[in-house]
Amino acid sequence: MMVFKKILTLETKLFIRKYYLIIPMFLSFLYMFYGYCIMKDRLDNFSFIRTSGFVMMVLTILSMCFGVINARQDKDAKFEEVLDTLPSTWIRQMAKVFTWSVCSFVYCLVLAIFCTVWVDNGLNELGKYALQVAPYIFVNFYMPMVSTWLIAYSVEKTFNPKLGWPILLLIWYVISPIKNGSSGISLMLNQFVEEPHGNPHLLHYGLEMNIGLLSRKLWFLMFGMSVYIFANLFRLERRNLRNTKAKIAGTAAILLFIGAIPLAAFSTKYHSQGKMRYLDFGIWNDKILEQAKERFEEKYCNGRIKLLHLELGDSKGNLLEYYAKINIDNIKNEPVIFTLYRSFAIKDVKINGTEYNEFVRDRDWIIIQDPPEGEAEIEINVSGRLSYALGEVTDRTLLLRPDFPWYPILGKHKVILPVLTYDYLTNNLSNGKPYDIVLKSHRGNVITNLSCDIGTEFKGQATGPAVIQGDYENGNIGGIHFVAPPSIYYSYKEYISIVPDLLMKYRKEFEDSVGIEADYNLCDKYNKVFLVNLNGSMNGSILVNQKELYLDYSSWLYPASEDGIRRSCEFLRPMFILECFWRTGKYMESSVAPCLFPSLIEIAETGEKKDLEEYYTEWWGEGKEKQIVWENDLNDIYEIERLVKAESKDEVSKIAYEILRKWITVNKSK
Amino acid sequence: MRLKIEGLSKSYKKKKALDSVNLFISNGIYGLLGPNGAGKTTLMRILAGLIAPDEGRIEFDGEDVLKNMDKFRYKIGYLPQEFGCYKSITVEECLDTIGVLKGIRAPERKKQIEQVLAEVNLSNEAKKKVGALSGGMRRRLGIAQAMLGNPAFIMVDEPTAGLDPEERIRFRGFIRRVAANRVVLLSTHIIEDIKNNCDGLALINNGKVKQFDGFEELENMAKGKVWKMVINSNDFYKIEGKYKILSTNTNADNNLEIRVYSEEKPSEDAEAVQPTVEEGYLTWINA
Repeated sequence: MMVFKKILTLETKLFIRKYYLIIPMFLSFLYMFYGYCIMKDRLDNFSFIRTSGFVMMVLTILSMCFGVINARQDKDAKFEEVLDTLPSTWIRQMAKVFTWSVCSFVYCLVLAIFCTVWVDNGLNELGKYALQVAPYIFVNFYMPMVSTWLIAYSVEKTFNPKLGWPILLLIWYVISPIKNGSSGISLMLNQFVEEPHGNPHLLHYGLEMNIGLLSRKLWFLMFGMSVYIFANLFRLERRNLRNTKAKIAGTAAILLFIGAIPLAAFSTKYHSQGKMRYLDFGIWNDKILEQAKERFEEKYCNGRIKLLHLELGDSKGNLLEYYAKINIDNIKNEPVIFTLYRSFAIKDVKINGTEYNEFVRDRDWIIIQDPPEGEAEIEINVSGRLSYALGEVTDRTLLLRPDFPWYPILGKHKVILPVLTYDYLTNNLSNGKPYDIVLKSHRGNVITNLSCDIGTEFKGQATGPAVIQGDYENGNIGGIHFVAPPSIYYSYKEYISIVPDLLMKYRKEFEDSVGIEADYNLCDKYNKVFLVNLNGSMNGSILVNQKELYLDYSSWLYPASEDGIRRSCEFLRPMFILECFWRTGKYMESSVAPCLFPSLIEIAETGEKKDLEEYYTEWWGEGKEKQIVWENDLNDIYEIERLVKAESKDEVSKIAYEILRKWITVNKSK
Repeated sequence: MRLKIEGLSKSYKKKKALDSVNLFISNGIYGLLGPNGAGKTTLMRILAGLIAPDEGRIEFDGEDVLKNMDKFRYKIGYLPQEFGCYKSITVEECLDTIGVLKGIRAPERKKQIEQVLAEVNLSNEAKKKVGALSGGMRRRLGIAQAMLGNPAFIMVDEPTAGLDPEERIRFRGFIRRVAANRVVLLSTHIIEDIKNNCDGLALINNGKVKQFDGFEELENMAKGKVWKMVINSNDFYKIEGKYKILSTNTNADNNLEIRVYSEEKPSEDAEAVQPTVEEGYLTWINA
């Protein structure tokens, strides 16, 4: 212990005297401080750390320099020969590593404290931020700093600089994200964040920490440790390798090396929430897809929901558990059917306080065969997981939209609709009348569509509950309930009122151009604008539900300006019109309409057929006609054929509008 | 205390650095003399546990050193040919670190550091940084660190290189004092150091070692081969081309009095003289 302490003190003194390397380390604090102070209103709470991947890269270079200098100073001082004759060789080597570990730990601790304080300007939620910032810094900064030091020290000890330094440069290059490779191997080797700029789809997620990231850093650390031990063993003579300590060290090095292999293999897979979104299409098995194409008779709703009481449980990971109490009246002597997506299991059902086991769970439906007439209180415990394409449930984020049946929706509805060209989209199932909803969260603070608050208890009226959780700002901006990641929120809050007005204008223009008038379920004004993470969802970058607009925030990352907002809205216009006039909750047996609706708007407006002709020809290629799902589709195709054959722009425009008018699922009263 | 080396060999690739070395050293100062590249440092490094021999056996006080190197390390004081320390630490810190590594406990360590610093005349430099020391001072620091912990076996490789004459004399006195109850192996190519210090000596050349009972034995190696001649200074080059001239001295008549090494009498007026240690050494090296 005495030796360990002494070497630790000595090495620390030597470290402190390397001011030329310490100064750049401290400059990184200034850089981060500058970033937070100057840009605090323009960045979300974690964006600056997440985008500081280059600081991380500089720190690994500095760690390598420290490793090389540490190895060289023994050689240059010609002290090593004396030290090697003395006892405690291994303790000395361990103390050296420990010293660097302590120094880099102190650096990371200071950085973590600073970043937590800077992130949490008001110091109100220090604990919440510290729990994310500290692990993020220790995994992403600390572990590579120690690993690169170990490797640099070992290489410098073992090789001549003419060979050693190019090796180190190569190692740094290999572990850096500069290669921009997407293979499993380059993912495994990348010791920095997955993307140096951070993942733009994870703004709301906070600082990402996953088991893959940890294992990627850990295998490299273990590899670095084994290299360090091997390098020290290499310096020992054959005879010295036979002593007990050398044998223990050798065994440890081999075990570390072997232990690093499975971790390295494990880290070749994506574990990032951002990437998983793209990869998670496992839900689309043939059975589900065939069922989506089956004919379906929409059942009327027996009863009317008076009150929906939801309590979200404190389940971890991507498991969603909740308790639902549904008060229904007007029940007739017929089965009551709820639509609840099939990935959710029903634990138990109670009707008016009595356990009820005779319910049927069939696909996306819960059927209560013999409900009491009049009023009933139905209690259900639900638990299940959602694919990213359908909603978001992670450790600290939620995106549960009212249009998707993650909660029991009264009536028998079809959840997934087929779209021509093998695509699918979710049906909007919440376009009924608003009802009372009480929502309690045991998963921490959430945002809902029930009020403009952030909290755990909500009461309000809506056509269905929306639950949003994550690093979001939430507020009432001139009567608009605006939700967005902090950086976007502060950037756009001055301009956000433009969005509902602009979209309303588009809607009116479209109504006029197809000659219809908005029916009852189109609202007068959108008063909820939720810039959330729709990335990976089946319906693209905009979803409309009554007065609620759900927009994918990744399209709103650039600094706000009126022109920019107009451009974004213009880009969203076709999908927005599809949302307003086709995906309205009304069940339509058409797989052509959702596919061509947005393109047809453009064709109708410009009179240009674009690539429709080519597209149309392709449908009739070998086996392609099988894509057509419904009988109605054939009529639609013939309409498209008519459009393809049209010659003048006026004719094209006229036919396109006619088709659109036919496809529209809202009341065409004009 | 005795150090016994038997059949010690070490090769680097095809070159034999040590070839079946046998040595027996007891208490006192023992000189290891040899030209550069003879194998002195290799032998020292093996004894210090830095490298392993290919074969052979080393015993210290009857204990197998090679089998118990970890234990033996506590008994060694070693000054390598080139000694240095981190420039940014003080002399005291350097000695303290080595003292800790040698397992010397705190109060005793401080006492010993003061003692060895006084012995090598570095007490005033205790707080100085190693980087601020002159070459000679650094050498003395090296000697001081080797003495720390009262090691039973001290190895010093070229200890007086870089020391001024006064320091050299001081070192001799110091080494004589510390050698009282321990084995000191002094490796050098400065014959004067050996002659003035050592109780015994061994010569090493091309990895082979020859141990001598005393200086007389070494001197006798050259008996009948060293001649004294008086020559005209103009004839010097002629003689130099023919014989190995060991020393020259100008006499009162402005003639040169020279000592030459020759197996045969170089001239009629040459006179056989009693060889010196240096001449004995040259004879053995050239044999």
